Amino acid sequence: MPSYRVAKEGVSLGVFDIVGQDGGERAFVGHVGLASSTGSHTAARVAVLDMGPPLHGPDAAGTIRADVVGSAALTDDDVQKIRTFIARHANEHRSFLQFGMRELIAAAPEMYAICPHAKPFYEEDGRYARMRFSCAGFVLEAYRKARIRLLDPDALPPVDIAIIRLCYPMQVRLMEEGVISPGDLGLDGDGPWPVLLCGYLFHALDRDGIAVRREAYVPIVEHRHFV
Amino acid sequence: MATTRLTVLEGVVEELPSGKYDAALRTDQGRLVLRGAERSDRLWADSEKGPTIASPASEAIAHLGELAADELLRGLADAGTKAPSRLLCAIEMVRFLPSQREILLPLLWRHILDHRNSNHPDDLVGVAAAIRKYIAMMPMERMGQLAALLESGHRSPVPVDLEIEVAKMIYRNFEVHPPVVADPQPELAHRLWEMARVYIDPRILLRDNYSAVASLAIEAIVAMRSPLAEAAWRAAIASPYRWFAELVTDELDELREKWDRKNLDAAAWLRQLRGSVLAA
Repeated sequence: MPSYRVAKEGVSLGVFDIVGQDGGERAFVGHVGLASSTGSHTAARVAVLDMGPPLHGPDAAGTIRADVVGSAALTDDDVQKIRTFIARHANEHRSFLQFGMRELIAAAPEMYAICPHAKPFYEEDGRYARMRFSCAGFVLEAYRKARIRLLDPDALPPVDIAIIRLCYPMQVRLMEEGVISPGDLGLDGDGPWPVLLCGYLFHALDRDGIAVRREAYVPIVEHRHFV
Repeated sequence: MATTRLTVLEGVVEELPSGKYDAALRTDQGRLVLRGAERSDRLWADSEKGPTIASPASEAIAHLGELAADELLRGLADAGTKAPSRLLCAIEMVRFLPSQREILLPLLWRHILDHRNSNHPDDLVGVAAAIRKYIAMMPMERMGQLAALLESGHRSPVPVDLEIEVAKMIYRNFEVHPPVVADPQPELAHRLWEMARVYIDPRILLRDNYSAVASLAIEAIVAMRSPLAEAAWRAAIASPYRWFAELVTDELDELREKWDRKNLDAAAWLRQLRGSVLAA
């Protein structure tokens, strides 16, 4: 199913279609979420289940502007699997909704992951109470649970800090001010790092439906944009 | 670039047909008019374009990240059974030393028992946080204690959101620490099986959140290497909803991959179980 840029004020979506909002530069997809319902929506404000942060689950959907949309023509079975995946994780992020902005920022390393795109927050002995996701990671994992492997996380192109800063300005700023460590973000070493970028998801969906379900897409760095 | 923090004293915000906002505000630093502002409920949406936090960012950290575990512990002890959800959520974020855990665990357990039947959504967020933290820290050999949370027959039903957290955390504990011997907590496995059998019913499974708790209960039973594991997995396979069978099987395949790196005996047992269940 082709992905497309939204050119009108309204957009028609299926539940859990992937919705992208542009970031800092032209056609650069800065954030993604899953459409929370089927139907026609005002493109300027689409209700989504997304890894904001914090994670917006069914009881507290977030809203983003739909600049780009992608669909895998999900079946009812796919939808049930994704719904179950979200139900498994939504509660563990609801705690953050109790916090004010300052506390949320302080808790950033505990709720969000950049690299890898999904990573538990561990207790000392390796047990964990929460999965952390990036926004794209949350979407990728939701589709993986429906047996739709949009991308292979082990085959992501490495990107440098300039691109990561474009995607995650706040986190990089906190890192540079010493508030959080590079390790908190998964950015150990000198880089570059294989970070999952939102735009890749729309290129992965911009294929025929059989290909989308048959094989993971292999993106290049330029696919952080979707024109 | 330094950012400036304004305090809004009063004002009006108008939503436009485009979904954007116009606002006229009186702030502590004068009047402010916003045109075509976009709404965001994300923590760091477009943070390069505008002030999201006070400057410098490091100022923002003092509240939670550096809050001493001791202080949280004292707060919980002082609050008794009336601990606010916010405090429990903060406790969930912090790692505690072994000596602190010994004090924290009974306090969390008391709170869970006292509030698990609450109908107040905010309370339940705190109880859920307490459940996750408690199970993630509790000694593995005491996990049988959790059966009390899954007993039926209470004056009011435990909310399904809490059942999800209990089943999920049991599963995760055994995912990380595969049982060296089979069936380490038989009573707990029985409680999970009772729950799974009810929720897998086609009349219930599609209702909000029940597929999550049913699948997690089955996966937890398998992760405990319970004698009930085969029956539980078969029940998932026998569901009229093929997606549910696939979901459980996929999750258990992931469990086997994780156990392959942790405990070869447990992984071999799971491989054999898979063969037996799927061959039938």
